[in-house]
Amino acid sequence: MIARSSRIPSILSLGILAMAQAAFGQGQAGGGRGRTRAEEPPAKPFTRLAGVKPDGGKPDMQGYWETANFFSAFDLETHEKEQYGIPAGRGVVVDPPDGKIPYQPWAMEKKKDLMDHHLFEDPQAHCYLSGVPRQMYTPFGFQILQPAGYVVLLYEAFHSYRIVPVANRPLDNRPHIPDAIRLFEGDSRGHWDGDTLVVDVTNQNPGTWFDMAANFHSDALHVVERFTMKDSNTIRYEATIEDVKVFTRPWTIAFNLVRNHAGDYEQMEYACVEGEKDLQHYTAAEGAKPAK
Amino acid sequence: MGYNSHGLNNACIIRASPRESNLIPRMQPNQYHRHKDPHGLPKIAVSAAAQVSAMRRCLRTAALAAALLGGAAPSFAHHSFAAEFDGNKPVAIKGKVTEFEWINPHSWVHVDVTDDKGNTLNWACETAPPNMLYRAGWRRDSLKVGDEVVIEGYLAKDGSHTMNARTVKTPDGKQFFAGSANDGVPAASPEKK
Amino acid sequence: MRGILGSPLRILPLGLAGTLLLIAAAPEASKSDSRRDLQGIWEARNTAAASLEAHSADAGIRAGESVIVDPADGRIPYQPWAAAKRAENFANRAAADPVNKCWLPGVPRITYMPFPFQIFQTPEFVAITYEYVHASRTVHMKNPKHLDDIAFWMGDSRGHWEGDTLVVDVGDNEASTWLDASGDFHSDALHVIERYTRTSPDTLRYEATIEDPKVYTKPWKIGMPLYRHTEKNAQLYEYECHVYRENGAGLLK
Repeated sequence: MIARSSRIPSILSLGILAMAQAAFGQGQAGGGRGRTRAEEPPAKPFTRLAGVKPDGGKPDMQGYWETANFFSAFDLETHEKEQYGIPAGRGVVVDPPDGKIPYQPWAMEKKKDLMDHHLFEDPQAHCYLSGVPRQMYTPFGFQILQPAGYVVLLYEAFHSYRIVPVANRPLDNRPHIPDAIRLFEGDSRGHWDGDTLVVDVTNQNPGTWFDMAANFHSDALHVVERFTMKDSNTIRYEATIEDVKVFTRPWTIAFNLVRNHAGDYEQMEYACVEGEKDLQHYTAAEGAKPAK
Repeated sequence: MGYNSHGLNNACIIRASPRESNLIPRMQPNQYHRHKDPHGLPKIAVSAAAQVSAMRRCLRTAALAAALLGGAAPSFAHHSFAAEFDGNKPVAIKGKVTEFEWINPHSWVHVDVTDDKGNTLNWACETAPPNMLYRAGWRRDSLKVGDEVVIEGYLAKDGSHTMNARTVKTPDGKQFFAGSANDGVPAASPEKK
Repeated sequence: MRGILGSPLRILPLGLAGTLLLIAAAPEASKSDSRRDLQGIWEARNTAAASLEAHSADAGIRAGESVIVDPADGRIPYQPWAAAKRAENFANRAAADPVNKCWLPGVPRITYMPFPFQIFQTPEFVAITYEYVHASRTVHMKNPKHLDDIAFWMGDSRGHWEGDTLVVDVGDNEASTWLDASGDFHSDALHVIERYTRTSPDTLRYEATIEDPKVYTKPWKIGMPLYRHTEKNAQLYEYECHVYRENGAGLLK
């Protein structure tokens, strides 16, 4: 229960720790290997689901999670210094090894133009769903449920969700929906490869960005995610991204998801459309008109 | 260990002496060199040294908390600050709350500010979303209509009386950190892999 | 099996009796478990989203009977001031209906919007994901206490089982939602208790008791069937209302 009295607790007490925990409401950063928190149980081997295939015996990933690297919400690539309000930070592109998204030349020009002149077009600022993989590192974390035959991800940001049907046998694999149907969060199909959940995501709406730095894609986007639970506190997340219209080759991001151990944590509603008031103040920075 | 100073400030609700309410009305640009101040705080001209040390104790405690919790506190970011606000234009206002909109994706505090000539302007100050404020101890009645507040933040680029609020101070001495969209503070720590 | 247990012939009747007991017990247990399985994709098939009360047809709206089962006259028991406000809402509904601004519909309206939703169940949670504006509700099954002093567009849901009925207590409701497109409204004191019951393999019975002492003279109740989507590979899509409003037709560029 997050219920609090309306009196603000005084400082210089352990109340700070409790408040900080409530304010942050989150688990370790960076995998936290070799470091334990005062309130958090040390990592131990993960448990497995009961039941029958396809889930029975597979890692139990249920609970509240968040990304260990907050910076990805700003930019998937490393930022050496602050620019356009995006702070310095380390990126999560692990392939290609230089950490740079392998844009085709025309696409690199478009990305630069978007950054310079069209940051106000960030679809997330317009309360559009984030798409995959951006939804995985949009702030406020998410909850994983594993009812039989599904992995359901419930994100606090914008009350988004993703439903991943998990295949039993190859013949049971449901085909993806037709190409003519486009979904902001895409169409996901999952199967277990040993202890790794592999999720194939197609049919994404081309209108989403990968981050606030205007990294973008087309309707040819195809994403394959891999969720590998390492221990009770950590899931290794990887996403391989391919889009033959925009990139010269597939590329991969990777980071840890860390469990939120705050004892009474519950997700709260985070709506967007109902109270959105920023767009009216957005300026076409640097005087450029929106690109078409 | 890196940490986001916004997140630390979330926990640092301090009691100030009555003298602190006489804050300088407008922060000078050179007091907002966030890259120099390790805590990313403006150098407030507080009257009592005790206030400064109380703030520092609070921040150290919160830093300890952040260290224990593993840092990487969430400075909320779902859209670019730079498209709307100017990080080079800090502003501080003092006035009476006319409305406190407890809404997502950002809460808004509306404040009537009266200048020397007696003209009143209503300012709109954007804060963090309610779920962040709630988890930091705010409630809808944390700010009531008529409350005198001092709000520091950054000015909107479009010339309207709109700001992105960093801190909100009430007359009973409470100070809330109200940060929302990131403003370029070197905050988010690179992940230790 | 001589000795302690005595003659095997004496054991046999016990074993048979035990077995018969198990056979008798098992179907009830599994039947009860499957009755508590509400999972799947469901949708209402009525005109409640247009108007909870009985109404004639109108442009784009079929005629329909009231889904209000209590009071018996099928009318919402408004206080006098609220009945006048409802009439005003109805007159202004094109502009005033929050759903026309693409806002979240709230509970119970989300249930009977003409879009499917999917129910998932784990021991601690019932998750209900809706196609309409990707609304999402998580029903807490282990923690019955609502949050204090906050309001959500989709409320705060706490659930428990009464027999084979899932009872969901929805508090902390945001004041600004409507109950249908005809201006039926409530205040911040809205409190809804939903009941979901399997009535056949492919149907649920949905009931919601609605109380708001600021607006109604007494609690009232709606009821309707919910139908399972039985087409092969049924799944939810998306309906991103505000996106279409912002872009008009032809979203894909």
